[in-house]
Amino acid sequence: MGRVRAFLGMLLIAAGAGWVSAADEPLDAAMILEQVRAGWRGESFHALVEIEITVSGTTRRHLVEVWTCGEDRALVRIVEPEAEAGSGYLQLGDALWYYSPALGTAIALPAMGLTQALFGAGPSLGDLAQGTLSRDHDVQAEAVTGADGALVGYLLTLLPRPGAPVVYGKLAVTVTADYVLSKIVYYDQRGAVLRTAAFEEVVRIGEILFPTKVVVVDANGDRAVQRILDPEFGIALDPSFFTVERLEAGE
Amino acid sequence: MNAAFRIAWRNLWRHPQRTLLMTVIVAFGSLVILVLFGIVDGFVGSMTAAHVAEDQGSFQLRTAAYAADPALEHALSPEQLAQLGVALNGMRLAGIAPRLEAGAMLRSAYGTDGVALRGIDPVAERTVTRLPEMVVAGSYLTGSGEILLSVALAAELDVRVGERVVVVVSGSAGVKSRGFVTVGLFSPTVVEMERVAVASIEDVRELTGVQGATSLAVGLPHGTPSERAVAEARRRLADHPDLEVAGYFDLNPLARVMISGSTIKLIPFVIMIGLLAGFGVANTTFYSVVERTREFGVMRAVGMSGKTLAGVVLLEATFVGAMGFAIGGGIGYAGLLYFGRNGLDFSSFVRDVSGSLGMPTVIYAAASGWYWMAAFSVVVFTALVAAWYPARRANRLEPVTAIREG
Repeated sequence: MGRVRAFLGMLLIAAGAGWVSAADEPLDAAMILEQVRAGWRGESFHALVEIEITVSGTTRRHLVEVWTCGEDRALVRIVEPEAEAGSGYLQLGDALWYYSPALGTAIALPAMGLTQALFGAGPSLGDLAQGTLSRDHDVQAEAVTGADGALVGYLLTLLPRPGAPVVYGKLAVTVTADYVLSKIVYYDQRGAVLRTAAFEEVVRIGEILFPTKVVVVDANGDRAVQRILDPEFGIALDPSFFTVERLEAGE
Repeated sequence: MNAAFRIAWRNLWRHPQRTLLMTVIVAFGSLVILVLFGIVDGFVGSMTAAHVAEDQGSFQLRTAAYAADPALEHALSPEQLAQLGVALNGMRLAGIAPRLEAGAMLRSAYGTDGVALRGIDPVAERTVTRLPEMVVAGSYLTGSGEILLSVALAAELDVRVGERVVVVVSGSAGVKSRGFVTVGLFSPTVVEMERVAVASIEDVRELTGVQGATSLAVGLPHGTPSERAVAEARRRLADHPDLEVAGYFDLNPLARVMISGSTIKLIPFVIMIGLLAGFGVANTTFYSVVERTREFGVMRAVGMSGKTLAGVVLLEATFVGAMGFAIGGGIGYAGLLYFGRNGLDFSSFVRDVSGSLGMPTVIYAAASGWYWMAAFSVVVFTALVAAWYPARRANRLEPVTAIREG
């Protein structure tokens, strides 16, 4: 479940990363973060996503179909492997359900499952949706320029504030000049890199700049590669689409 | 009679190997009985003492609803806490400490684990449990934003003193999370306590949205019997059926099953050990009597009465029993005293097999005086009973027949 939720969160970051086009004026650190996250809020999204997870040298492949609407509605349906086909997750606000054809009925998962963090214990979906990254961290930004002095992007350094629900010592977030999320490096509290998430293969869909590949590599070598196939934004998705009945229908 | 003593004593050392064999048998029986009683009683004592001193206090006060269903909505309200304070006023107590406990997820950069989050009043807690003395790294809680973890939990999540962890709680205020700085690590002997993370009660109230406490833990002055205090508290709260006074067994229902009659349950083992020792003594004594039939016949012929001869045989068994008991009992008692002071570390066994039963990882042997009496009674009595048949045979020997047939 963690991997699926991690995927969902990454997907939403990726979507948000490209939603906003480049601004004309330089922004402060908090505003850059806001630009990165602001785009996908309240919008609908649909895609097929291929996930390859490598743990201890063994790779498993999954294909899932995802629908999201706003900050608190998401439906994830597993397409492949065949053994898990038809099972999926539904998030409605603070509630989370899991369905498997073998169970025959959807079961509610503990609300704490919703806080399942991105990439294990990184910023959660809620953090990104509700702008808590800037609330929980002191953010410093520095411009990254090319050899010609032109602005290439921004390097944001996020340090957790006292009492913030953050287990990391530091996050280093690289954003392009177009405010597309490019890379996140997670440091532990001893200064060591725990994992990196790279956002690659950016495509333009209408106004949107969208990374279609997300590669997460843990310090121990485990990795997850996610390829977003045929992404659609702003599709007509009524909130009533996200129901337990639909989850159980396995459609 | 002095002659009988002398003869019996001299007889023993005419066959030192046989005497040593019987002594070893009796010593082994005494040792096993003493150790059995000491360890079992020590286990019970260690378990109750560890629970009281490290975890729950002498007794607790909670709502009857919380006892039936330990959910946050059944916590004591601030008004009930005030009522309890008034009700217990005047009782001879060491202290009262409010607790607010909730299931929580604890996260570090390296993992996530389920814990019981216990909110405490750091000052009041000192009067009820020895939590401050259990801190083996860092320091005890001093205020908000701090958390204590067990050494085992910290190792599992790879957390060091000074590092931040995140606690996620599902309370009446929904799912809330907060970062805490790990200020100290404690080392409990009760395995259950390894899954407890301790923070200030105000922080836990803020996270859960519950303003009261799930329980009031009560500490008693040293030497005060808890049963009497529990009865007194129940009497004082008789008009409050919604409140419950929970004694040791109410808080540890599994312990009741484990402890009840634990000493009585040992009796079959003690009887078996007594029989083994008895057969050993009887067997050896019997053959020593058979072997000395001719000798006994001569003794009867020169005027020794059958009764005195039987007395000599019984005295031999008594000497052997006494020597065996002195050796076995001495070694056993010294061992119990040593393990009563230093404890027996069962941590790997307890963690693997029965951590959920609330058994302590270190068991301190008990060394009560009555074990000595029990072992002495069993072993010496058995030795005497075992020597009775050979003694009877010696008593009935006909001198002429014995000399001819021996």
